[in-house]
Amino acid sequence: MINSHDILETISMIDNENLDVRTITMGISLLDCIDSDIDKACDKIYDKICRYAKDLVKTGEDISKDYGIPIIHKRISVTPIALVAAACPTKILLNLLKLSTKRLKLSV
Amino acid sequence: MHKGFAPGDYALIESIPEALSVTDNVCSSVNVGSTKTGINMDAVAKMGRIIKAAAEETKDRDCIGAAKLVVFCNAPEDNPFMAGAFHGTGEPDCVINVGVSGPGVVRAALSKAGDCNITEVADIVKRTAFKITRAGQLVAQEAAKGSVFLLVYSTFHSHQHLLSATLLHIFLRKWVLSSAVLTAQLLALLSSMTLLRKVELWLHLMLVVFQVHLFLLLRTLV
Repeated sequence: MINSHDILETISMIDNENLDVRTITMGISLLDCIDSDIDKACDKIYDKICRYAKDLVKTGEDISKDYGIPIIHKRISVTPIALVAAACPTKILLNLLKLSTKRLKLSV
Repeated sequence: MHKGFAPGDYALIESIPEALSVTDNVCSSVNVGSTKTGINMDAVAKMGRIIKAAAEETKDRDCIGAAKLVVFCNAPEDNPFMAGAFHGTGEPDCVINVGVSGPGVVRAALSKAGDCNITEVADIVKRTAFKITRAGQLVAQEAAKGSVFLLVYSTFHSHQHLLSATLLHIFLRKWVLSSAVLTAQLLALLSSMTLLRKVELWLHLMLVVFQVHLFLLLRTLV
């Protein structure tokens, strides 16, 4: 049951004792983006990350504003690129990294 | 690559310094060992040179490239912590991880407890960690709902120009947060949130009506 002591204790945790949410990290699987064509792989990665994470920062900021609890970082993590790029010729692995990350300007 | 290199691994590792230097928010990690299989010393030697190269590529920016590169042993497959975060193969298509920082909360709880034995300390830490974790769970579930909640919230944020209303809003939302932390009854939480927001909106409306009446009254008197 809720009682006033517990409510005030939680408010105090946020206001006085530095309780905050350090990060919201969205994990996205890129296994279905594997393609032997480097351009197709980049397009799939770009589309999938944008589809899943396009509102991540805005949602985090709104939750922070609404509940009064600070959320410091919003970021994404993805499947190890070595697995995604295994189907591509090795000489274009760098292109895969640079293309996908430059276009997204996000953490990969 | 804790047991050996696959064909693309060398090329991928070689590309890390440049990839970290041409991007701002990219981090990278490599696993070179595990308790079960031991340490791949070839990978360790390779990564030593890669870390140095990453620092050299970004020497004009305090060598930030090396700070964004992690070399692991026993990397867990669901690690959400930068710079070594990655989404393991056993994970679902998309997940939300929330990291909550509460050492200050634990410290305050322990200082309030005063003189106590190790069992009591463990119990206090456990209970405090539970409350902190519930707060993180609430944020994660709200983040997962995403745009649906944004639509609802935006309706109420438009009234925040009034000081009294803002203070009331802060109180109400913290009350709701406490409900979630302490009960974890999400259905009850959602219904109480809706109810509280209706009350808040009603108070906004009444405040506006009151101000209009007051204005008319003063105008009549003057």
